[in-house]
Amino acid sequence: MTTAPMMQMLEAVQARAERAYELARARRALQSALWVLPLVVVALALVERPFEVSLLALAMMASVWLADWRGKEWGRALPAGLAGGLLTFGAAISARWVMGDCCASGDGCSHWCVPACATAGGLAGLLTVIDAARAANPLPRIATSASLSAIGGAMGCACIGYAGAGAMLIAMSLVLLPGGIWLVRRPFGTELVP
Amino acid sequence: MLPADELDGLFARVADGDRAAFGPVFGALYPRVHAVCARITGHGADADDAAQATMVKLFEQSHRYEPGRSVLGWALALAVWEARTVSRSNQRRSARSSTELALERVEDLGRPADELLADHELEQLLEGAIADLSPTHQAAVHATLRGFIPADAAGAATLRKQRQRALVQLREWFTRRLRPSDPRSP
Repeated sequence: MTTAPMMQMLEAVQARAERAYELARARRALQSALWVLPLVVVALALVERPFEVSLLALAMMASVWLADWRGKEWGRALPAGLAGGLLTFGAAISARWVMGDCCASGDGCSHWCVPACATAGGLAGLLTVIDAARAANPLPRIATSASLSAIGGAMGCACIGYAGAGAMLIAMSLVLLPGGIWLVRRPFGTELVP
Repeated sequence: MLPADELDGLFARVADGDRAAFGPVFGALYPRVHAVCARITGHGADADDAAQATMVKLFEQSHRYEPGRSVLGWALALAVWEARTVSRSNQRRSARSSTELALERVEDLGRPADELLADHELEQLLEGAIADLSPTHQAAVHATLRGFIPADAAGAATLRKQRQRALVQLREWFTRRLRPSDPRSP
């Protein structure tokens, strides 16, 4: 076989291997995205806004799929992101459980649920910064982890409306912005806590 | 050619999702995989097929790679497996095709002879049966076999009646002739 047809054949084989590689990654990412389903079921059972929860669930599954398929720092951020999402979701649901059916009546909701969502948002932001500090390129980790935490929190805080979700996002941003700027500017290897 | 530890590091990056490492890993592994496949299959096209299947499987299963293990060893083990599979498949195919060919030859020789004999016997029997009919009924049978359709309704009705009578006589003729050793038969 002369050189040109051999090169064409090699390119064809490489293209086929790349397609198989991408398809396998996509299938595996889909399996990872399905792990979000129990959280979605709980959210649909506990939160009275099925449309908003369904949209957020789709967004969360798409984020997990994309991060896992993309791999590298995006994929490595998934544990921290899902932990943050569970934290914010659990905080809102727990506050609601402690307060009883406050969201239906409106009594005491803003006193307990909104601070719970804000605290969980701040903690999720801190978790994201700590996780991203271990990466040479922190931005993909921050993006993945923060988005999953925010979506999880929004699912849980949806029961008290935009106030809970807004408080959670503001608190998370207050931690993430300075933390993220510091992480991007620092030389890699600098300890987060000196 | 990349050293083994560098190749392992590159493949670990591929397994982690680093697309930039794909090309160097492919370029380093394919010639070695192809050489193993060629040695086992002995044919250029078969070696190409086996090497392609190996590379596809290797990258498809890259997420199973454990850092620190030899990717070259894994790739060559896969190559040996794929090359043997291709060789076995070829052997089965060639064995099947030779058997099918032999069967076709036997059928070419045997079946037409049987059919010819059966056709010949049936023709003789039919000729004898038709010859025993009256001339009118013989004409009706020949007209039917040739697809003759009378132009007028009266002619068609007549032909239909003659055909029915001829068929009754033919049935009786066949019943008499084909009845097994009846002592009362003429």
